[in-house]
Amino acid sequence: MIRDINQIDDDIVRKKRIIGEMLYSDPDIIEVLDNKDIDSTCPEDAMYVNIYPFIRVPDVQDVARSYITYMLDDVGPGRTNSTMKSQYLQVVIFVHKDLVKTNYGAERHDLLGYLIRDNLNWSNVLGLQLSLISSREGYTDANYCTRTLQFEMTTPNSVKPFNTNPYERKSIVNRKDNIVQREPVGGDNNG
Amino acid sequence: MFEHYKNRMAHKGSNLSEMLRAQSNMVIEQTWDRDPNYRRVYVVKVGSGLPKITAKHELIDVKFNVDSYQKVGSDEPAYHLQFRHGAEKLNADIGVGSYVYMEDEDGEWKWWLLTAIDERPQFRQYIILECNWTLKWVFNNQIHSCLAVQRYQSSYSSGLDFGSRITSVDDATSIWVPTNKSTQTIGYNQKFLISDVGRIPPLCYEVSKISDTSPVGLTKFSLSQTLYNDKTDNVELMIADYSTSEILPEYPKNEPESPNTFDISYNGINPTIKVGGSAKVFTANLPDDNHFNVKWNISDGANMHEGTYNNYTQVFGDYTIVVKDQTMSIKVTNNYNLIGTILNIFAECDDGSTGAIQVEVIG
Repeated sequence: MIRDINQIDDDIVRKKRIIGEMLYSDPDIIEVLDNKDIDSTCPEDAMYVNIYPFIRVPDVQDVARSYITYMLDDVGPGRTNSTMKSQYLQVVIFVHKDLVKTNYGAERHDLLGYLIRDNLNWSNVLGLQLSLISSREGYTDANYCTRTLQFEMTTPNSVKPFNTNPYERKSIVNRKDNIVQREPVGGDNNG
Repeated sequence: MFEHYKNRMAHKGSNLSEMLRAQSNMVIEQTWDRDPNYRRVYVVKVGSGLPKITAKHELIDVKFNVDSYQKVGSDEPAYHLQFRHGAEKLNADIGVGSYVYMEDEDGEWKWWLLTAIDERPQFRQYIILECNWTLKWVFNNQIHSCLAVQRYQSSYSSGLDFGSRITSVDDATSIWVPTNKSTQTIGYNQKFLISDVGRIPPLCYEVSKISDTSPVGLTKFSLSQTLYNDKTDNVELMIADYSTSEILPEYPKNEPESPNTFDISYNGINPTIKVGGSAKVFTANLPDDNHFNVKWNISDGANMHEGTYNNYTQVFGDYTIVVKDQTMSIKVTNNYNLIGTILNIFAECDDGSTGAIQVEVIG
């Protein structure tokens, strides 16, 4: 890529990375996901095994498992202030019916729901405060029960000190037709 | 004299049925090779991989009989294979799930699969099917292959169950393989490329149902069609999910490991390190319990870190390396540009033995 992948100018990508790291870094979440293949010294192995940064409905499987999946939506600018936007984080927990019962005195999907709420509710980890607006129980088919947590946050809507795309802004001053020659976003923010 | 007569008669059978069967066995034994169905075949039981004829295999006498004839619109026909009376007791390889290597009437040797036993009052028959596909797949970064039989599956009428709805399957393909260490690595959703030469994109299937107990010795996979992924599936080798990692899978090594090499094990599931993740710990599994010092060299393709036999902590570019006794841990900084980098790790023990492993940096 010609862009700097470490400085991605997209809050969805950055926030999804943070949420994934936050989930697998919690040893209680790894314990309650209860996958014997996930070593507590290497919890990031749970990514794309038990934790998915997209909603993934379990497929035909040979092993019953529990999953935490999440998606992040921008839902448009605020009605009164277009410089702010609402973002919804939806976390869907899937637990196979054979794994619902636990030794903790709580159903596994409820317990995972609690752990996620405990981490994310009123948290400022994504920049602005997350607040839980719904926690619904459900099912996908005869095998999986679910808990869907929805968090809302109000966050800046791509606030920039200029009113155009940064590449176009550059090209007005110093026109370059080849994208490779374009300077990356960031750095010069003086407009 | 009477006792002698009784013994002779008893040898032929204690009743008329036994006598008739003993006589029939005697007749078929005497006339065994006076029959166009007579063949001499090899029977091979495979622990993993493809069947091979070795010096220990001997030619076995069989009769190759017709079970059904080829019909348009139906499966490949099945045939019967009859071994000489008592041959199964002499050759442990004969059984469901074993391969048969047999010459056809043009002198060409072909592989068949023993798929069922047809128990009869006399002259037990095995049902055999010709192997018509070499199945290839990747498990744990190793390429597995197996000679298989493709079948249409008219009995699979229940379709795929999605909980709230059931989809019925048209001409579902089933694939039969012997049950062994290698084929037991095939799980649900395992993808295969099964397609004639030259079709781009090739036809791609995934396992939707597994049955390995009817009969024991044979595993039957029901397949449903799925999407070809040109990023991960390899059409030249006809292997699905071939390049899911930067470290390409390999064929299993047949040569015995040298006594001067040792394995390197690691914590977690895969030989991968996440950028910004926790440290991956590698352990040199030295061949004996004597305490030796290990030197670790790490290369990322561009730069080489040369270790020493002492314990130390060192930052090597974006990697923090901690060496302690026979373990070495690597932690990667939160640099997403490193995703896809392959680290070649070489461990050298002061007794001269070596170990090596490749590790991929993932996001």
